[in-house]
Parts: sequence; C-alpha cells; structure tokens
Amino acid sequence: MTAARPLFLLLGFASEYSLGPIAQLLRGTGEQVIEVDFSVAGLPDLGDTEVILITSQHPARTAWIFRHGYGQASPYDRYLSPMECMRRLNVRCSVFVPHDLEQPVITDEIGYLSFFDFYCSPYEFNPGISLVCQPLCTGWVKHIDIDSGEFAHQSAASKNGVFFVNRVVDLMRRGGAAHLLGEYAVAVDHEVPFKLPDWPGVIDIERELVQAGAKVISADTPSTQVIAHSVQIFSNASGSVLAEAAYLGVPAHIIAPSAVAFPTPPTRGRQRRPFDFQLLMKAIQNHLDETSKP
Amino acid sequence: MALWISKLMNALCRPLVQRVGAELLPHFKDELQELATMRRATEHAVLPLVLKNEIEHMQQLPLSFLREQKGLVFVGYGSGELHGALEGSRCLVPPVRNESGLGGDCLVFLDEYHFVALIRELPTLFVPVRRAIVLPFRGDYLAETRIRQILHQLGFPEVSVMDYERYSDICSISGVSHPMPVDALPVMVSPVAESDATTRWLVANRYPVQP
Repeated sequence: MTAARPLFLLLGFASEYSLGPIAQLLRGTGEQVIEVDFSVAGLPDLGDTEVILITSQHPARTAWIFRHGYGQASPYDRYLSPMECMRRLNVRCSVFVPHDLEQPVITDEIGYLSFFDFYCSPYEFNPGISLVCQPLCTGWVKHIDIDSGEFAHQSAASKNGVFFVNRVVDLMRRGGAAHLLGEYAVAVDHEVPFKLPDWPGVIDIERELVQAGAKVISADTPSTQVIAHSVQIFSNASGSVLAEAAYLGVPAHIIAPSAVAFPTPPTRGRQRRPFDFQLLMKAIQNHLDETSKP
Repeated sequence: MALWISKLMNALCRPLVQRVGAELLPHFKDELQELATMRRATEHAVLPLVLKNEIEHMQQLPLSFLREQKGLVFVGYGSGELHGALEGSRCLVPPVRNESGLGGDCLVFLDEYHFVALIRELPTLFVPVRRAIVLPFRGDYLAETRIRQILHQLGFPEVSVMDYERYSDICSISGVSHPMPVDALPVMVSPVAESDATTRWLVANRYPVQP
C-alpha cells in the first residue's frame, strides 16, 4: 500500500454500527482507519483527505428524520446521514454494509443504494441490486472471528441460552427493566441471561435488571459472538438477532409475554460462511484503480 | 292548485336549500379540489397546452439556481430554445426512450407533464442523475405529496419548493420535506411559504443542502 492511499472512514450509530470487525481487519493490514459511532462522537473534520466511506447506517434516514424520531438531545444531535457525510467529504469509494440481517435493505432504501459503489450482501441471492449499485456477496459482516477470544458468559449461554431483548426504544417507553421483568420473569427463573442491544440509555436498564437478581450480558458484547456460543436463543420480538441465529445455525424462539417455560433446544443447524474481507478489499482496490485512470 | 303549491314551496324552500348548501360546501372544499385533480389526471394531456406551459415556465426559470449547477439537462418539447442559454447544458426532447440520456448533475423538466410521462413510460431509477431533479409543479397530474413521496422513494432525501423572483434574480426555498422511514411519505421540515409566483418549482436533492 502506498502513502497516498485513502483513509478508511467507518460510520454507524450505536447497535447500528456493525463495522468493528472490519475496522480490526483493516488495521491488521496496515490501513489508516477512523471509526465514527455517532452515539459517541461526531464526524471529524477531514478537510480534503481522500476517503473510502463504509457505512452501516440506514441509507435513507436523514439527520433531520433521525432526530425527528429519537429526539434532539445528545447523543442524537450529532448524527449525520451517509449522504450528508458524502457532501462534506472527498469520497473515492463508498460501501454500504447492512447492520440488520433480517431486512438488510428496507423497502424505501433501495433507491438510496445508488449513493454507493458497493453493497456488501449477507446473502448470495441479490436480484435487481445491480440496477442501482454493485452487490458483493461478502456474507454477514458480524461473522468475522466469532470463535476467537474469551467469552465470559460461556457456561450460562451454552447451558441455558440467552434472552435477546429487541425493540428497546419501545421497551424504554413502556417502563424499561420493570416491564421486562414483569413480562419475561421466566428468564430470571431459568437463569437465562438478558442481552440488550448497544443503544443509548440501556445501561440503566442493565443496572436495574442486575439489582433485581437477573443475569445480564453487557450490551457492548458483540451479539454474534453471544449467539455463536449459545445453545439456543430467545427474544421478545422478531429482528436481526433471530436472522443471525439462523445464519449461524443456532435455534431461536420468540417468547410470548408471561410465558412460564422455555422450549427444549432442538439440534443446531448449518453455519453459513464468514464475511469475505478479501472480496471487499479487492473490489475497493479495483474501483480505486479504475477511477484514478486519466 | 298543485302548480300554486309547487311555486309556493319553491319560494319558501329555495333560500333554505341555498343556505344549507352555502354552509356545507366549505366542509367539502378539500374533497372537491381532490376530485378536480383526479378529473384532470384522468384526462389525456393536451400537448399544445403542455408546450404553452413550457414557455411560461421557461420565462420563470430559476436562473440564479441553475447557473450554479453543472451538467444541466433540460427536458421538454421546447428545450431547444434553451440551447446555449446556460453553459454546459443539454436539451432532451421527449419521448425519452432510455435513461442514458438523463445522465447529468441536474435534470430540469420544463413542464410537470414530462416528469409524469417519463415515470409512467420509462422504468428508470434516475441513477444517472447525480445531484437534483427540478420540475415546475402545477398539480395537474399528481398531488404534491405523491410527487414528493415518489422522489423520496427514488433516492432524493430532500424535496423543497423553490420560488424565483425574476427581477431581483433571487431564489428562495421553503416547504422542505424528508422521507419517513419505510413508506417514504414526506415529513415537512418547514412549511411552504406564501408566494405570488406563477411558477413554483419542486427541487429534489440527492444530498440534503437545506440547514
């Protein structure tokens, strides 16, 4: 790699930032990387620096609509959409990596894929996408090195499974931990740990759950790692976590409110292939070569 | 005798019916407007009137805005009239058969009809349009909300109304909308300003530019 190589800028917001594994691999290959999780920091001033922009944000959600939905206060106030970032930056190549495996591209986002040079698809079957941008069948972005490293909750997850809490914004509106404990006491009774998504405000729910005697896996633990180590997983609603479980061959169940027992775990399914980092890097390099030709 | 009774009843009842009608009609104002729009939308376009509208709109072109755009493409029967008027611009005379002709930074329709005809006849996602779509809005074919939603769905996250003051050569923006998640229905960021302008332009931006 030459010194003039563009900087990798990775964008997302809280649990909708799914690019941590890519950042690690990029750093491992000696690339210059800046990660921007808008729930923690704003977009840095990069001047005229050439940028390879990779985002896991919703492509069609403008900053105004984002704040319209979540509120004006911090940490939502510094959010910028991918196209608002592109307007401010010198982008040489742009990549969309979905953060939601259940619905990687929402219906209104199809038209917005044209902002990107590449779409990293979790699935092999992508009819129509090439009309708006080039799909790369890289696989699921969070499926990178999930078996490596220590996993602190190995025994609980492999014995009883994990309860993933979905629709956390709605949960907060309904009373947070108290609501969760009231509806899903079965998890506490069976010593199944709760796992919340990494989202502003969940730390308070986690603290109240622990105080009430529930087991909790910290929200900043990568979900994919937790799923991979679980004998089965449970959730209060459908969402990306269930799709991830299917992707990894882990049995998953939606639990009805006030349930008194969990189902027994069925056998595990087939695990799909991990994220193809080399495919992404090759595509980016080709794009840079082609667009730098006079 | 019956005739006299009929005349008497008419004389007594007519003012009553007129009063009831006068009171009720305002309540149906929106529905009546919608019906008028639907009736116009189902009629075949009158092409001589489209050309007449184009001339009107060309007279009101938002020049101060267009001069800042690179790669302008004008779409209209009379677009040849604009040849050379703005540096680097192209003219496209409908019908548009393929989307390659749309390639440019800013696509300007000289009448709303051309936009509606194009989206009804050409299955394009407007991918070759890099920055903006501009069209004069009259409400002859589709409601404004529907046009905004269509543009939002096609990858234009910001749609606004532009008024052009010809004498001062100043463009002003109001009525900015952004797409609601999933259904892309327009959410108004700011209200549409009152205006005396005879031509109001809808501007759809790829990259949000309004603060």
